[in-house]
Amino acid sequence: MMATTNTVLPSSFRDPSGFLFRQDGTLYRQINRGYRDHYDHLMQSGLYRSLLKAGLLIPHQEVTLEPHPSTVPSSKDHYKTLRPEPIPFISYPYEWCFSQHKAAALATLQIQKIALDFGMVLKDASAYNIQFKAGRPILIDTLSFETYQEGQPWVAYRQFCQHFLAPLALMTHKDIRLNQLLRIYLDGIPLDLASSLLPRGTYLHFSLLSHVHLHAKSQKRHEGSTIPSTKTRGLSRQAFLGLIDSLETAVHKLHFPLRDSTWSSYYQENTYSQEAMGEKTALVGALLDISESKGVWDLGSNTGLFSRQAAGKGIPTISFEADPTCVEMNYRSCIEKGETKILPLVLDLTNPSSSLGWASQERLSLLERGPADTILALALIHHLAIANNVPLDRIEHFLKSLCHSLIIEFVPKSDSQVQRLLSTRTDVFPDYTRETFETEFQKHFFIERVIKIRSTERYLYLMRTQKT
Amino acid sequence: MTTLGILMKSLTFMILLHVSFAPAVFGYIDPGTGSYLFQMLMAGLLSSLFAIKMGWRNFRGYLSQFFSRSRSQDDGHD
Repeated sequence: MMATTNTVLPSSFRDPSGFLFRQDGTLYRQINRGYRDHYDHLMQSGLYRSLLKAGLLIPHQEVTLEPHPSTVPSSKDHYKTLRPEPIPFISYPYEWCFSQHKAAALATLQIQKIALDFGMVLKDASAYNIQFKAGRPILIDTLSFETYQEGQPWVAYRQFCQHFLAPLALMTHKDIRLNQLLRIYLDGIPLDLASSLLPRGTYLHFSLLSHVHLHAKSQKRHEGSTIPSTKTRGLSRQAFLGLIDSLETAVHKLHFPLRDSTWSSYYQENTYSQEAMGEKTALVGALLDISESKGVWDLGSNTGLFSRQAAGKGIPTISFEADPTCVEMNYRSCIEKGETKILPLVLDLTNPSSSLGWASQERLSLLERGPADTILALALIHHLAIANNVPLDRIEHFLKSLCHSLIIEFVPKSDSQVQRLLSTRTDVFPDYTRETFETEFQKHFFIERVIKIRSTERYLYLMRTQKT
Repeated sequence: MTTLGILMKSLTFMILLHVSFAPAVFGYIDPGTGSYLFQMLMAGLLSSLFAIKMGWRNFRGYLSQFFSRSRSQDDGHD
């Protein structure tokens, strides 16, 4: 669960310019004295205002507060404390679909271009510094800027290529699932690995040839060597702009053409009649109203049909789905319709995002980012219980730790979708019955409503976790 | 293939010749150094390409402004 105690955030330790800490439930950012000139430049040059106007930087307020000694034992470096606007849900690059990753890359380059107009540069280009707020990518690290000095190369070039260009190129030219490499390589995909995985044909793309393949060879060639002092000041402003423009062109040229995947046509190909689907939609809407939900996690959301129902009621909704093509379709739909209440994310429920990074604390697991107020688990339980052999009691145990209320659909064995799952295997699921389902779920949930969906054998439940 | 396309392919080939057969070096990894120096290597090229792009954009902007002005003058005569 999200930490509510006074503490420095475990992910905030690399940058000596400052750190994030939580005090009395509120998130703050300390700026250290060493960063004073850069911060003052950001605020006084007009860059901060300009980025805010473009919706590219998280707004903050300066507050007269210092970390409590119990939070930070020694705070001699303190210059200022900021209270950034909170981000409702922190997502990570390995949970983004292609277009989210591309939008985050272009936002980073746009920020760099604007910053240069005000005499500043991004000193890092980590994908983890970008979050999605109301559907748009936004930089959350206010300390990412430093004063530009004519002649200096872009120090964040390597990081940008590893965090953005390499994953996008691999998703475009090799396989959409390769962004999962970011779960292993938290500082971005090593360029030599990206170069070896990309097809030979990408050598003919000037931008990929230069920023991935030749860049990787240059890294290899200069392994272990230091930067010659005669070459430390040598990238003119014009060349700097050319570098950013070239990276922007490279990112713009990368596309993910939508192809049918196993799940992308689910709503068209499932066995629901139009009437039954209409009935289910109405019932889910009614149960959402009864639940008075403040936030929804839609698990196994496909392209987000029911996420839209929740979002349409003004409920902030995270739309989780394992199939990256479905998430891509969902996100594109959000952009086309200007939907700001839905955040589609890639998540395999049978292997949800775990705690990663230094001391396994830098990147939060799914559980640590919960609980959700309400979980939607529609047409999901048979995939977990039968396709993935997860017993009902374990499903119940997982869901009760993830939410306060649950809207769940029970799909019985007699349903054609379940029959299809069982058609190629032995039925080793004697306990997969509605009776066992209810018994197991009542261990930690109250069943508030049960409704049969007309023209089907499926049931919808509204449950609430029992207060212990 | 356009002239620009041929030019880009030639440049690509020249850079390939220059760097792609670099000997493999093993040892302690300092990926920052290679990235840093690679920017220097690319500086002249990126700078020139950017200047050409900006020049072309300005030229097109000037042309479209010129023609839209003369069109509006023609409309005024009707």
